[in-house]
Amino acid sequence: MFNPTSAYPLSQYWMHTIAADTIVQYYFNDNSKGIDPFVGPVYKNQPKALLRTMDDDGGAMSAWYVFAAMGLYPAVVGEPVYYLHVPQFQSIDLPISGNSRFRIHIKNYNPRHKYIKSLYLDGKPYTKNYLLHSDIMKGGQLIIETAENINGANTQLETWRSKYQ
Amino acid sequence: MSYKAIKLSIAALLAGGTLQAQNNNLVQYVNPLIGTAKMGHTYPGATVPFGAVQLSPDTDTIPYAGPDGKYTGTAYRYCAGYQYDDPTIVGFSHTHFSGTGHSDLGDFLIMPTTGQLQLNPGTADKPETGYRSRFSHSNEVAAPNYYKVKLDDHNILAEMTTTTRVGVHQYTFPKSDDAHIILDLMHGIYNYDDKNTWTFVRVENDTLITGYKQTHGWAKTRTVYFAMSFSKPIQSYGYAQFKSRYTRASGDGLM
Repeated sequence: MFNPTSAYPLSQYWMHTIAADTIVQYYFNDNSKGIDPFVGPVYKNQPKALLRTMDDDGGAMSAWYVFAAMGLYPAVVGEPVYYLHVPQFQSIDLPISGNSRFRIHIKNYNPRHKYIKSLYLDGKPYTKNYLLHSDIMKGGQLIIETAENINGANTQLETWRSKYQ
Repeated sequence: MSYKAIKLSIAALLAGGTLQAQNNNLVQYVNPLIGTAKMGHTYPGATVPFGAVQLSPDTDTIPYAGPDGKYTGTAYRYCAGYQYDDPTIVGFSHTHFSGTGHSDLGDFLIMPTTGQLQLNPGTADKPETGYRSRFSHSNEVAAPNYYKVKLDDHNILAEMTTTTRVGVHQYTFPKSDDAHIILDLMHGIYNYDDKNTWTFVRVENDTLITGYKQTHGWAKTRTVYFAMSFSKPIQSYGYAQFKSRYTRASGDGLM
């Protein structure tokens, strides 16, 4: 939700955290019902895979996880825009067609790094915090340099805002 | 001990998409059991991308509402028909939602049995009172578009896969004087009294059965049709008709 604002590094933090880190979730927010909070990762590769009250929503939540793990976040339904954050893996290949592919690669991979320091698209510095679907479908390579702390995050990236207000 | 396998295919005439070519190298990483415990509401059975058939085991028959019309809270656990911690399988039905927060479907439940013929599903704590069977996860395989399980009470190995519109079953029976295949047209997910507005079955010949059912559930006046063909001829058949007001959970209702 911070992505369209100047505070988009916070979105980078939360996407990384919710996708893979241990989270603490209170029910009814203020814990007024006295139910023990959920502590653990949201997604697990086992039958009991999701939070207590969460279902897979027709595959939507699994798809959300796949996007989150790839470092892409669909900005809004119907717009071909993906906000960027740090992927869970050092290198991700998206096969496009034939031998063509789009690669997302982290230059200084570290699981603790949650912030984007700099971006390079096909070797050139890239100054936006989003990709268009057409950028991916062209094939190519996005290199991400990461930062461990928010102080190291790039705050000069151009962001994308929906024309629907 | 000799075994005989019965193959059974059911073509459901539903709207559907097209089969997409898949990269086989990636399929090995798919685990269909993810989300089948607690409230993930996924099912482990066989289906293809955009398939009209989702052939999967159902592990209980909790009605959406009792005779008093009140919602049964535990029915919510069965949105996809399957709960990982359940000890029994009622049968294999051909339509399922994956990961929804409400439910419907569970059409055309098939269950192979041996021993005394039973036309009621029975209850989870007393599976011997019906056609359902105990099973164990150590005898269960769930892979993309393939599901296999041993039905312990009947000593039957059940395997299934699907195409875009067809559910293919293969049942390996033990040598037995008394073997059956149950077709339950009234079974459904989020079932309740009178949800089935019409069920119909016709035995066309000794290897073909056709039929349809209409339900008044989440989708109103939804009609699904099937044609069911057997790899071995049917030796004899029969049916039980149930009262229109009938609650599966109570186990009664035979006319």
